Amino acid sequence: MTLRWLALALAVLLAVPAAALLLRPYGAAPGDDGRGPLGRRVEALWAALPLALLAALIALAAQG
Amino acid sequence: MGTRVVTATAPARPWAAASDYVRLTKPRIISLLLVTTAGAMFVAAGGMPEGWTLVWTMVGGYLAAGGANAINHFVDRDIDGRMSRTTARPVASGRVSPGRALAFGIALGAASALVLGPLVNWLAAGLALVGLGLYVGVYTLWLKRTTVHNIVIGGSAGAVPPLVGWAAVEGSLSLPAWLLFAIVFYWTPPHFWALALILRRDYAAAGVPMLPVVRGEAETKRQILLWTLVMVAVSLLPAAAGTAGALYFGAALALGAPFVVLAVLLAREEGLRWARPTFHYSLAYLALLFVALVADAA
Repeated sequence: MTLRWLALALAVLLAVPAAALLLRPYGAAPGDDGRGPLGRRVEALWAALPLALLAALIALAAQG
Repeated sequence: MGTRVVTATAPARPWAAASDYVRLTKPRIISLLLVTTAGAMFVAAGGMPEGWTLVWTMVGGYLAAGGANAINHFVDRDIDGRMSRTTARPVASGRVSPGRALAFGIALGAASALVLGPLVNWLAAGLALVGLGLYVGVYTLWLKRTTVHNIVIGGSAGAVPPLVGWAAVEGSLSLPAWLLFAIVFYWTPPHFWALALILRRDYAAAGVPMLPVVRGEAETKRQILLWTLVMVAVSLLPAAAGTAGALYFGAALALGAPFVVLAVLLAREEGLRWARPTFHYSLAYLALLFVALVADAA
């Protein structure tokens, strides 16, 4: 049980800051990057999908 | 003189042609995929899986992945011809016609279903075809040329083999199978972007929007480091879920730490000296992580 919680705690400690930093550019005000609003939304979706999956996997692993 | 040359080269031609068809399947890439397939089978079985199931799953897995790769040669023949790394590929160089490569790929995909379905089970067969479809349809045809996230989302194709292996043993998919899928899925971005940094000029010449081409080296290095941290986190989830024990947990940390160190070194340097070591270590990392899973399950 201790090993499971230790592994989970370490996983969360590593994943949460990294995920936040990966998502940060998409939360900022849109710059002049040549993409339209739809293009930016699609890019943000592609970036968010794997991180949403990550959150789901951590939650499921916690339930064992 | 001319007669001599013909006499000397003619017998080699059938072998050269066969070699080209083998090259269409990209055997070196498939070998790592099969390590993850076999690893998942050992974990699902809690030890050695049934011998023939292992053999037919490896054969079917090779056929499906080889079919996907052959079709990729057909679809990407235009950009392969513009990249120094791929210009000698059988289709790009004209040694195999595009139509034959496509037919070969489709035949291999069909053969994989005919091997896996009757001899293993139809879930494994279906998943192998899903992997082929993701690689060809989602990655090669859709995302590769349209978005900088191509390798992140398209990487799901390369993560299917552990699902095939798990399904071959269990006949169903449960959380541990998806955790193994996730390990390969989150390993793909740092692995591939390390290579893309080295090949950035090739990708730029071919007009492929790989991360280093679109966002530059610094942002790519930053993302390699962040995705490496995510990948190491995901590698700990089998232990968090109770699927793996202390041996695997220790191995995941011991193998993950050098990967993070390499990603930090790459992120902090001006040039690309650490890109190649990071890429090569990533290959060893994935294979050894699955070996650790097997050792833990035995």
